[in-house]
Amino acid sequence: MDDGDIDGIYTTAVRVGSSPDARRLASAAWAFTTRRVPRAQPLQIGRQASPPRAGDLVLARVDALGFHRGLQLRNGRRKNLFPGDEIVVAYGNRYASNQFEAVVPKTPGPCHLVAGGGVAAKALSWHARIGNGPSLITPIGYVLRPDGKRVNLCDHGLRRVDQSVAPGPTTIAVVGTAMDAGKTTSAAFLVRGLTLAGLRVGYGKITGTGAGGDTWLLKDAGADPVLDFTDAGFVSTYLVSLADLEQILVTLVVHLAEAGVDAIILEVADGMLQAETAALLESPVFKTMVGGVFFAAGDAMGAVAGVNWLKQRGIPIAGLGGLLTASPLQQVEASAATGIATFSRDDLGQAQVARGILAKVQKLRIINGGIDARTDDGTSQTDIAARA
Amino acid sequence: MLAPTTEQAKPTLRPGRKRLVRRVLQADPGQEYLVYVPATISEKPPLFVSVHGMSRNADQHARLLAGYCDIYGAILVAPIFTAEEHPDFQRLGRVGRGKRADIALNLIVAEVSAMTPASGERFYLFGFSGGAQFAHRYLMANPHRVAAAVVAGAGWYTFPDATRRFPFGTRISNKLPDVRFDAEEFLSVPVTVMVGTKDSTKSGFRRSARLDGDQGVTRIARARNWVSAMKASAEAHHLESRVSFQKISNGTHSFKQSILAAGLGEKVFCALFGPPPVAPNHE
Repeated sequence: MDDGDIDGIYTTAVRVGSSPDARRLASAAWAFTTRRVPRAQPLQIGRQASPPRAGDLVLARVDALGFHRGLQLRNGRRKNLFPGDEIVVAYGNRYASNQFEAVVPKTPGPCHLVAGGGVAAKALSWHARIGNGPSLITPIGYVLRPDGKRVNLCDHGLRRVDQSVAPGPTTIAVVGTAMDAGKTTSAAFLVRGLTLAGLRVGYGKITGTGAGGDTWLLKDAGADPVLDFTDAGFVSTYLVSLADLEQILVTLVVHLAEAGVDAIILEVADGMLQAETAALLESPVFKTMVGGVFFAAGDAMGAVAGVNWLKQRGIPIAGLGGLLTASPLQQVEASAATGIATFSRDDLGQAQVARGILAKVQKLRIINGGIDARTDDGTSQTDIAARA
Repeated sequence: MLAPTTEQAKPTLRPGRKRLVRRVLQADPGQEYLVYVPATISEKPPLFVSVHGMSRNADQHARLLAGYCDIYGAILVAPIFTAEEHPDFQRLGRVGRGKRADIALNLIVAEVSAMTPASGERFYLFGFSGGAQFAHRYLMANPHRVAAAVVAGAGWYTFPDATRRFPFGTRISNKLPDVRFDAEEFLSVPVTVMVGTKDSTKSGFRRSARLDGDQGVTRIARARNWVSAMKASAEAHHLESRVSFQKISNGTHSFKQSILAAGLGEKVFCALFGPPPVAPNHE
């Protein structure tokens, strides 16, 4: 049996062997974050007391439901959770200003489910609207490989790439003021517009916490391929080193480029005041790989602050958008204060507008002498946009 | 959370003034506490906090325990949680039930550590009866502040059960909106639970069918059950249990009797600081 749609019914069974451990693992619900772990190996359950590490897979029992009452499965379906359910999730850290701050616990004892994509952690704090707190889970044991070592997501990522030397497709990064500022929506509609313009667009989410919602939205919008940091072997990027963040960026961009896309839309989670996001945006590697950013802001004042932050660091801005565009008045305020055009999601979904934003970034890259100024075959990216 | 200390008034409590001082908290004039600095203290003396029960006998706590502080060189603090300001102090002071007692203690400790050589980062906590209820709940909510604790004669307990809401368990409650219980941390605090062998009445503390069923019908049974639950929780977290249980021979539910006739004071200080450097003196 395999993950997927069988006669219209989604299943989550995995091929893990026929031992009692294997049968128990097979009957558990495997979360989205585990989707890259091969399913055709005889896995075991290890009841070890040693401390968990980010990326370790763990079989856990749901004890009580809090904020997360469902779990995104490997195939994308959201499973409703019930106390007593057994789930396979990955240990990880989480930084989500509208949800939880959470860290990998010191012990494999009872802890929390802190992300719907399947992340086990110890919640340190959470948003005031989360009155119930996190859902409670009790780890039963680590998921072990046939050789007895723990299954860790870092062993199941895409081929790692440390450096990109070839010119790549024009790359736009969507960044924002904070969580829920409209970054993913902006990215999805920008992808939609570019796709309607006849371009093949790849999407990569560089930072955040493993969850399927964003990637499914981008697939639906037309991005192909769609990758995120979990494809690079990371369950989340909170507390990840800058070197690893840069490697995620390069790995995803190179794999998207190798897929033959015409343009790449990247998304960087959270706001620029978040430590990992700030470090990544200030990194020379980011400036080399990314032609310009589309900035999503929650409101006009946030747009002004964000634009200033980006300008101070010499990061080219291709446009403004995000949640503020839901308000025509805020949209006017933001454009007037920054001198940068604002685009609603409907604007971005239009081929001509999206193509214009891409062309602007291409121009910026040519001016700045970036590596995506020209494609492998010597034609300029502007030419691609014009052809489209 | 430590309150910022004010620059304008920095009174000091120095050793040599061998007396008990009743003070008003600068950050909250409605809050009083007792402080005692032994004649001889080290450069970094430990801070010992003793919390009264429902009789609010902070003065008795300070007077009866000051001698032990002389022996161990510990600075004593006894907060006074009045019925008017802190009707719910033993449950930390939930929303709508007076001031937060845990925050008040943090402010007191910050003030005392500013006036004496004692460090307020981590202190030694003792509570008797209602004070024991406060002490174990405080350490569960603020494990990083407590070096070690003795919980004596509590009527009932908050169990390390994250599926049940505070004060019955450690699930968050909107009655204590900013309090988070971190089992990995509070299970790492050394705690000694004490109860008198004669403290076996079935009245004078909170009773209900649910509480009786969950925790037992006497303080002794409830203490044992809480210790067992803390040990089981430590095992579930793959941690070595730091909780122990000690019966006080001939101890009753009277603080004074337990100190004067059952040796509670020696046992408390021995549990917190180890054997005394000199023989205890009841003078």
